[in-house]
Amino acid sequence: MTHIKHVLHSNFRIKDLVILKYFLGIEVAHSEIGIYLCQCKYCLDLIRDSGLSGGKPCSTPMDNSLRLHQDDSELLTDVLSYRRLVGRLLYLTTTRPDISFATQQLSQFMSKPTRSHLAAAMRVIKYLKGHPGQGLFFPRDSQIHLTGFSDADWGTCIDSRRSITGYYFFIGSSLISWKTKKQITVSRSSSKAEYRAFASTTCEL
Amino acid sequence: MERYKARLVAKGFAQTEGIDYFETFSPVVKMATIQVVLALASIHRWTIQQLDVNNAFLHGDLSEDVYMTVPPGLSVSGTHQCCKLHKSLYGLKQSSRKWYEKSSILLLSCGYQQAQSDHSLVVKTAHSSFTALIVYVDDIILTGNSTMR
Repeated sequence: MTHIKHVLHSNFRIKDLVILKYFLGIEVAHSEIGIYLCQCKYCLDLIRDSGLSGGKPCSTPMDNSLRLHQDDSELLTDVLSYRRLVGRLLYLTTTRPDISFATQQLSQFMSKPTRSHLAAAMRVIKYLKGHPGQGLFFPRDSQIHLTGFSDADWGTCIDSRRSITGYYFFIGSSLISWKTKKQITVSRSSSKAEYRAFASTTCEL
Repeated sequence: MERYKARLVAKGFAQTEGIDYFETFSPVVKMATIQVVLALASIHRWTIQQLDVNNAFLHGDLSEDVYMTVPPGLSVSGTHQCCKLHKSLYGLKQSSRKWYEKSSILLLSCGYQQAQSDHSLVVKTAHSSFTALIVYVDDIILTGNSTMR
């Protein structure tokens, strides 16, 4: 390791920051029991910029009876700020799998966001307020087995009746990869949707 | 105010594809790769270090003929003069690719191998020692089982 640092330094002049603490906006904490990743600062900046610092936190990222679709409520005049907000939430999903589904739902309406979509986005931010420092934990005491989980719903998207795939991968007990994505075709049965989810999960593997 | 910082930036928007630039794509690391490496580093108790390359883009070598107007403040004899660039500048369309080429060639020449799944991850195994580097443009994560100094 020391050798490669010398090589890099003699070729490019590097700044040696020693232990990894802050990378791409992600904070890294090391301890005896493991490594913890979070985007606390990024999350707090997001809450501040959305002007909800004074509001009450919510316990869930989304109302579970809510089915977002391209509805008839008033179109937003400031489309750019909605897009920027969803973009920031997307980046936040790198350490927050809990908002992955909500963000996937919001990102479907980037072209024509309405008032109800903005309200749902604000709900996610209120949820983030509850635990801005939540993140991923990679324990030291863990096996090196790769485990994958996949799931799908069936045609819950009101606009297109397409299904949504979700998957998770673990090394031992460390979560390393996940995704929530709408399938590209309409499935005529729930098992078909599950199979499709399984196929895209295997692709990731 | 501690210090002033200034940087010469080329007008990349004046470039034409096929004349003074060709390929501009350069890969960046996938988030899943970082998470896999950190999870493994945690389990194996590897040390994780962070390095930062100074003025990364200036290291790239240009193979194209790129000309630039003489920057203000530089006095040259005679008029109708211009600069021919040998190295990348910030602002050129190919800067990030040239930096990626330069850094990956150097790492490969040191015996590192690129991972199949993500070209920004390079690893080296020699005897019992293992070293891995994750390169995100000019930020590098370095980890491995060899002891430090």
